[in-house]
Amino acid sequence: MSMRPGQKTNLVIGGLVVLFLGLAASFAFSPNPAPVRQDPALTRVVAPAPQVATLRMTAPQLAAGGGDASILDCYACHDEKKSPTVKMGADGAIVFPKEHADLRLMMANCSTCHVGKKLEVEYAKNGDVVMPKAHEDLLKMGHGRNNRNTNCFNCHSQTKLNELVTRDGTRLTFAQAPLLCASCHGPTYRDWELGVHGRTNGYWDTSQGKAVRQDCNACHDPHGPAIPQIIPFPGPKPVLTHGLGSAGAAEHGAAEVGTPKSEGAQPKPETK
Amino acid sequence: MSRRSFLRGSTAAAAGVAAMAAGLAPLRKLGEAISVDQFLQQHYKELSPADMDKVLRRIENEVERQYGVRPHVRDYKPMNGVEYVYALNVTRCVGCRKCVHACVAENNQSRDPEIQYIRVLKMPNGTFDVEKGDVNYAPESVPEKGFFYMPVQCHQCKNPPCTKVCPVKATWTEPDGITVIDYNWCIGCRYCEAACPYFARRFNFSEPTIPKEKLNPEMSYLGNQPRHKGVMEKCHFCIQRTRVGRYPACLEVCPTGSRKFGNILDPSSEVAHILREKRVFVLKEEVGTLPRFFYYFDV
Amino acid sequence: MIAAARKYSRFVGRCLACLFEGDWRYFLWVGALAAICALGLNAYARQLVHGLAITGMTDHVSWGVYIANFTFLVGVAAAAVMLVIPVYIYHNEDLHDLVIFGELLAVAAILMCLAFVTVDLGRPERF
Repeated sequence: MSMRPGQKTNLVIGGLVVLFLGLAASFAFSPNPAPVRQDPALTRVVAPAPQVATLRMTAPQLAAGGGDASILDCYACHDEKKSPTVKMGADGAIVFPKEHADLRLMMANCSTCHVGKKLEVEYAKNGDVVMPKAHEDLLKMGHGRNNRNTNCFNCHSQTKLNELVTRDGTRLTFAQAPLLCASCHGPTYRDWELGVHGRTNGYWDTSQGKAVRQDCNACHDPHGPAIPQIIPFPGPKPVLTHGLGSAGAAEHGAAEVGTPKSEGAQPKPETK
Repeated sequence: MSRRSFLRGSTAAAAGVAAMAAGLAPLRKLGEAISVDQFLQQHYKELSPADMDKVLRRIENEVERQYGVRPHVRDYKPMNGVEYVYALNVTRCVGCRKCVHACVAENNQSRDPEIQYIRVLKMPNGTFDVEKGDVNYAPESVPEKGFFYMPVQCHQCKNPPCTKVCPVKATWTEPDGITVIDYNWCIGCRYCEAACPYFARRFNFSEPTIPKEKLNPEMSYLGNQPRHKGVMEKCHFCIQRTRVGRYPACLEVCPTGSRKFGNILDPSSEVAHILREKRVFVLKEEVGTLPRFFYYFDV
Repeated sequence: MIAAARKYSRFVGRCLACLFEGDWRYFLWVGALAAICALGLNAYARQLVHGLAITGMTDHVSWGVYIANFTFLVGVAAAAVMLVIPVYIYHNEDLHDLVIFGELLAVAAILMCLAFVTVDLGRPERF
């Protein structure tokens, strides 16, 4: 059966029109783009908030705000001249005040507790120092490769607790501790002196402000100098969801751009 | 013209106008239109100091209206005899991403959609092939055995491909080596993003959102003033800090001191020592961008 | 001068009048195309409000169908103009008629190119 040419044209045009309008209608009336599937493999660690604050806050403010205070020592908050009294239990262990239960105390100075007493050190058969019970929580010896540098008197003076002694017998105060470290870690000390090792804060342009260098002990616990493992901050959000969430939400009038209200729609890793 | 055809014609015209109006209906939500001042603003380099002052006050007013915080916006100029260089110790970096989030806080990056200038790549030991890097690592704690971490951000190249491709000259390299963007001149074509071999540039695909309590009120025109949708942004070595002599935010929070920054023209600076004495590695050296960002190793 | 302007406006008017000549099939076809144009207009209006994010582009895929269409249509326009070449090289008089269509296609493609790059910009008002 043959068609007249006009009829055929009509059919083609009619078909195309229906097809195009159908496509257009399906596009126009389709709901907003569904949230893009998230890859389940990308689990996210909810870490404590990045302290915006670390840049513009004092140490007490930081600690009070629940920030990461692991880098601070006692005197970041306490007055050094009126140091707090340390309470000890019957077994000689230090009793931590409740508010500091979570703090990792760094034993900065023996003579804070040991005033005018002679220190006896007990050795195990393999030469390791036997840690007294009072120090089990405070002081984990882990110095040297394979933790073999465990003898207190490799660094501390045997007779004067607030003095350090290098291998060649030079006596140093605690303030001079970097020199003690240097007696073994020469290249690192040289780097540190040049500002290459360790962080420098403050001003790179020393004509405009002070550059703040850190001592070895600011970052390394001298008894276990390896930097401990850190919980990483969360990584970037999965790529595919970039921007779609907020655009879809704004379409429904659920969130206004620029108001904190829209913040509520996103997961909040920043609050504790 | 017959009455019938007139009627038909006018009906069709009315339908057309109605369809047009319906099509343009979403524009009602466009919100605050661009002000005349904003529209007529000149390129950064053509602004006289008086003009610049006016622009800065205008931005302060806009930010205050939008966020309810009165910011302090300044236009920091490069210093003479200063060229910035960044050095990053890949032996020391533990991949904690503190720098990433300090940068977001300092530079008023959008929280949703998320924009971050620094990507930390977790790389298997023994290779520098960035294709093998993973940015989404999320272990219990870092560093992980068998991997090293390599943060990548804008390399502030001496021979930057991104500034060459910009059709409106909205991005250029300043005399102190920082490649900057005039956010109020950028047309948002994303050419520079395609040109950058380090994936350092970020585009505002939608209006950025920053909670107002997290806004950093110390702002610079070429640095961390809040951006709007449709413009490019990237790391600018914290212009508002470095041009007054301070260290960038990412360096100040690094717990391992892996990040080093300074003036390479000063032979006694930390970075000068590093480039002289350490083994230094340049990422994608073969593309000839001559970065001012170096990776180095202890030893 | 005024006479020329009047003549030109009459020319434009007659061209526009041509748009409204045709039977019901023509109007159905043009109406469908116009509906699609209106839809495009609507999509662009939405993009202006919400930003390029609603296209699904990200920093990882920063150029999408807009730029693909743009480069494609640039090619179409160039090829359409190149239709002139055989006409002049082989002195083929019959092809002159085809060249007119080629030029028309080129103009249409270039207009689409301009539209596509403009739509791809984040800040079209500054361009």
